[in-house]
Formats: sequence, structure tokens, C-alpha cells
Amino acid sequence: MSTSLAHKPLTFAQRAAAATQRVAEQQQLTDLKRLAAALAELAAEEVQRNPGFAVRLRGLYEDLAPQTKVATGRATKTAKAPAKPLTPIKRIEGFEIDPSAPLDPYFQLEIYGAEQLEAALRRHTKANLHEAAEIVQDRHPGTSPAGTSKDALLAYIIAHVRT
Amino acid sequence: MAAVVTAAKLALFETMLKTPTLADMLNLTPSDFEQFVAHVFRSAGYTVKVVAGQHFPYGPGVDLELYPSPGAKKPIARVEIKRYAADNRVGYEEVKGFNGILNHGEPLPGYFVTTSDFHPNARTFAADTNGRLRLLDGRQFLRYITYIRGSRVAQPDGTHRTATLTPPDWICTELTARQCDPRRTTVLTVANGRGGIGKTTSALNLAVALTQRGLRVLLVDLDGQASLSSALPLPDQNSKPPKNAPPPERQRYITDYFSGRCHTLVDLVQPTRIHNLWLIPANEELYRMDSGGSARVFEELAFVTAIHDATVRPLAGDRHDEPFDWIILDTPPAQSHYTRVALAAAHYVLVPVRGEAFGVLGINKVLSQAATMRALVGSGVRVTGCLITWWKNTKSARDVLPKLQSALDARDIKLYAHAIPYEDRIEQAHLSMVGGGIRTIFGFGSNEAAARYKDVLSELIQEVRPHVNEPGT
Repeated sequence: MSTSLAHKPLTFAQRAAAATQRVAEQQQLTDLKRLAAALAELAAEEVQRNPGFAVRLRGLYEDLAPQTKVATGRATKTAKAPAKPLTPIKRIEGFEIDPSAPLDPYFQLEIYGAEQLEAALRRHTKANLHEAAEIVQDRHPGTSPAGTSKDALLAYIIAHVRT
Repeated sequence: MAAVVTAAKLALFETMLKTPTLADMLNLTPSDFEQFVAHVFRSAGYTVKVVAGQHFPYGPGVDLELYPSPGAKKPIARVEIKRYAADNRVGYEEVKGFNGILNHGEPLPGYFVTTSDFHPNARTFAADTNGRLRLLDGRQFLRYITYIRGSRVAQPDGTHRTATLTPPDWICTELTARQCDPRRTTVLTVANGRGGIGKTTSALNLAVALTQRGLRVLLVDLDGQASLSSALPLPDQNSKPPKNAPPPERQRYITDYFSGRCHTLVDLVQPTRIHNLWLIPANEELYRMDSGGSARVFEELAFVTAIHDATVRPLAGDRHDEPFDWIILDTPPAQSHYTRVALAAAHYVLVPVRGEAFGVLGINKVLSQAATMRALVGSGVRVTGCLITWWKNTKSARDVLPKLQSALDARDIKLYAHAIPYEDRIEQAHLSMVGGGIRTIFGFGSNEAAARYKDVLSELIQEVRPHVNEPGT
């Protein structure tokens, strides 16, 4: 895994399966397990005979190395990231960043608009969403979320912030 | 009689200073706009008298009189103010009339401030007054406000103003620092108002990653801690000099430039033990010389010109007759003159930030300082984005990250897609280099931090100049 804030990279098994699939489609072969074995054996022979291939192999091997490193390391796990990047619809000059302030759903609505509001809120942790729900409750006394799950909090916030 | 400025109006003026717009100024009454302009000049260190009601010849016939200090008897400049809509330009007759008043009695310099623009004939007339009459149009006035607002310091009487008089002359005359084309040499400043955030580590590793692409890089250490200078020993530092060798020249530092001992930066450029990497080192004398974060317009502009000077180039090696491909400036953590000049000199600014509450707080200061210095120079100083460093996937980091993302989105600032993880090999690399080695994190085989710095560099290059300066292009 890579410390990427944008996307989750493939595991080794997924990479191997994807490469085999590419060759299978190109060569119109159907038995993927047999093809994987054939590819590995041929690659082993090619390394013996073709130094250029060996250099390319070592290069790719090095490139893939950090992924195994990170997978076992506690400190470098991949950050959870939004499924797709959000596009701000408004620029606010002079806005100050306060990481300790509660999550303000009305600010999120202003920045991302109603269509992206759910995606924008979903990036936040449940603790942040609880703070956001409290802000909504202040503006809509007598209302409350239907439950304490993330989905219930999101549904409550979105329903009231959009109105 | 001058209108009284109430506390509510002062609060409004302060808000307008923070995020100045011409639309907000046009919403003020003419009298309030005069008071607002007076507030701006007070913030620039002047003592201001609003004399708009005292018409010529019974009074000065202008809107403001500027004094150097509260006790001064004679004004040192006069100001005429026109709050005009954008399509209503100030004409020749108005400017000529103001000039006539300036020349009456003891001639004084004057500033003509408007929210709109000046007719070309009016500009031509002002240009022939030998600098006595300076015109400040709406766009220039916004720049002046932004620079002054970010250069004020608290005074004993509770007000905030610049430590010295800061007239707008450099904007009126479009006196700008000479900046090079970023396609020739890209100047990147790594800055954040907080310490321990990874500024030096990021500057160093991005520089090394650039050299690995075959590019020639100059690192400029502007931090009195001199961490960067310690990490990059010069080629002959650890070797014994031969017998009967002449005594070595005194080591030169960036302080030699700021103290006036050296007038250009080219003499301070020194090779390092890393191929294609040069350094202008710092020492702790920088701290003693620091004047803080107040306005020093001409020194700031002079440094910008010095950094962008085409003579700043490697003194030896391949292509030594060509300028550097990149210049990277490492900054101190505090409010400092050196942070200001580094930001002013930058085409681009990278803001490293730790994924934690205290780490994020420093961003506001550096973004505000970047805006201030952009107002000084009039271009460049573009914040390319924030780079998460020391990334650990903890609950607090996960809480802060989306809030930071939203806040940056609101300011149209990018959060780099790749974060630099906390990794012990960064520290191992520092230990190696401080000990005289040349083993950067890229010399430790495959490791996550090295790979991410390469990813960030790719993002950065794509962001700042996708078409230039790559080998083979």
C-alpha cells in the first residue's frame, strides 16, 4: 500500500491477476491459472537469457518493494480518502483554518453545494459528524438523528441542512 | 468637520483590511471611504488628519494630511480621494487641480487615491511631476492594503501599524523586483509558520529528487538553525588540507548578503557532496540580525532581484555557465524577515503540514504572509499546495484531514495527493548526512518516504510547469 491520499493501490495478487488477464485477452486464452504458470516459467527462462529483461524485472521489483514494507508497518497505513475528488463551487477569501472547530455542515454546503454535500460529509469521522449534527440541532430545535450510525447522522444532517 | 469614527466603523474597516474588495469600498459613503483610506495610511505608520471639509483657499483643499509622527507640526504628504465606480475614471482636470494645491505654498508630495482608474492624460500629467504626484488606482490600492495589513505589528497604544512609515510609492511607480522566467529557473519556497513540520526535510529531499532527474538545484538556507547547512557538508570539509596550503578563505553565509558584506548571491553559492546540488549556507547569526515580520519594502524587493539574478549560477561543473534549473528556499519557523523575503522571491510556495491540529494551525499565517508578499511583488508567490508530512494513520489525523481538505478547498488551495509517512529512515538519513555522509533517504534502498517524495515531486512539476526544464525537452 502507498501513503496516497487519493486512491488505494492494488495488492500483489491483484496486480498479478490483472497482468494475467491482460495477456489472456490479448492472446485469447481462457484458462487463467494455466496461463499464470506459463508466464512465470517463461519469465524465469527469459531472465537467464535476456539481461535487458532482467534489468526491467529488477526495476519493477524495486518499485513494488515499498508496498510490502508498508503493509507490515503500523505507522504508514493508507489514509482513508474520499471515493472521488470533490470540486469546490465557491472560493472564500481570507477564510482561516481551524482544525479544532466542529465540523460545520453549512460551511460544507457552501463550499461543495447540495449535490456534493453527502460525499463531502462522508469523508469525515463519526465523531466529526456528531459535532455537525449538534450544529444542525441548534438550528432545528426538537429534531434529532434517527440513530447513532454514520448513515443515520448523515441522513439527519443532509435533510436539515439542505432545507 | 471630520466625521467621528465609531468603534463599529473601525471594526468594519478592520474587516475590510482583512479581505479588501473594491465592491466593499464602493458600498461606503464618500465620507466613510475617506475615513477608511485614513485608516489604511495610519496602519502604514502615518499620523493622519482628515481635512476633507477644509476647502481651498481657507484650508488645505485636500482630503487627508499625512504626518510622520503624532507630534509633528508639518505634514509630509497630502492625499486626495475619489470613490468612483469602475467605469468612471479620474480625469486630467482633477489630477491637475490636486497638483496645483500641492504646489501652493511649500510644495509637498501627494497621493491621489481612487477606487477606479485614471485617464491616460491624467497619468501622463502625473508622470511629469518628478514623482511629487503619485497616482494609486483601485487595483494598486488593494495591493497596498494587502501588503500593509500583513506587515503591521502591535503598538504600545493597542493599535496595529507598520514599524516604519511605509508609503505606497513602490506601487505607484510600479517599482517591482526583477523576476526571472520560471521556465528558466523555478524558485520554490518551502514554508510554514510552525517548527518541526518537515520544511527542511522536504526542501532537501525534493532538491535531491530533482538532481536525480538530472536537474541542477540551488538550496538556500534562510533558517538560523542552519539544519540544512549542517546536513549538506561541503566537499572539502572533512578532508585534511595539504601541508603548506594557504589558509582557507572564511566560510561565507547568507548572512553576508543581509549584513551588506556581500552584494550579490553568486559569491555565496557553494558546491555540496551531492552531484548537481549547490547550497547557500546559513549560520545562527541570522537570528541576531532578524528584524521580525515588519515591512521593509526595498530590502524585500532587493532580495527578490538578487535571487532571480541571472548571474546566480553554479561556479563549476556541467553547464556551469547556465543558471540553475531550480532554486529552493528553506525558511525559519517563526514570523521573520527571512520568511517574508523567501515568500516574496518565490514563484511557487509549498506548505508542509503535519496531520494534527497544532500542525495545521501554522497554515493560516503562511497563507496570509504569502498574500502579503504577493501584494508586494505584484505577481508570483503562488501557493501550489499543502503537503502532509509525518503522516501517521491515527484517529486524530483522520479527524483533521477532511477538515483541512475542506478549508483548503474553500481557499482554492490543493492538498497533495501523496503524504510523506513517518519513517525512521528519514532520521537515519539525517544522521548519515550530519555525520558527513551523502546518504539521503534515496540511498536507503526502497522505502516509503523516498517513494512518496518522488511522487510529490512529480505532482509538483505537473503543477508548476508541465512543459519545461525536464531533460530532453
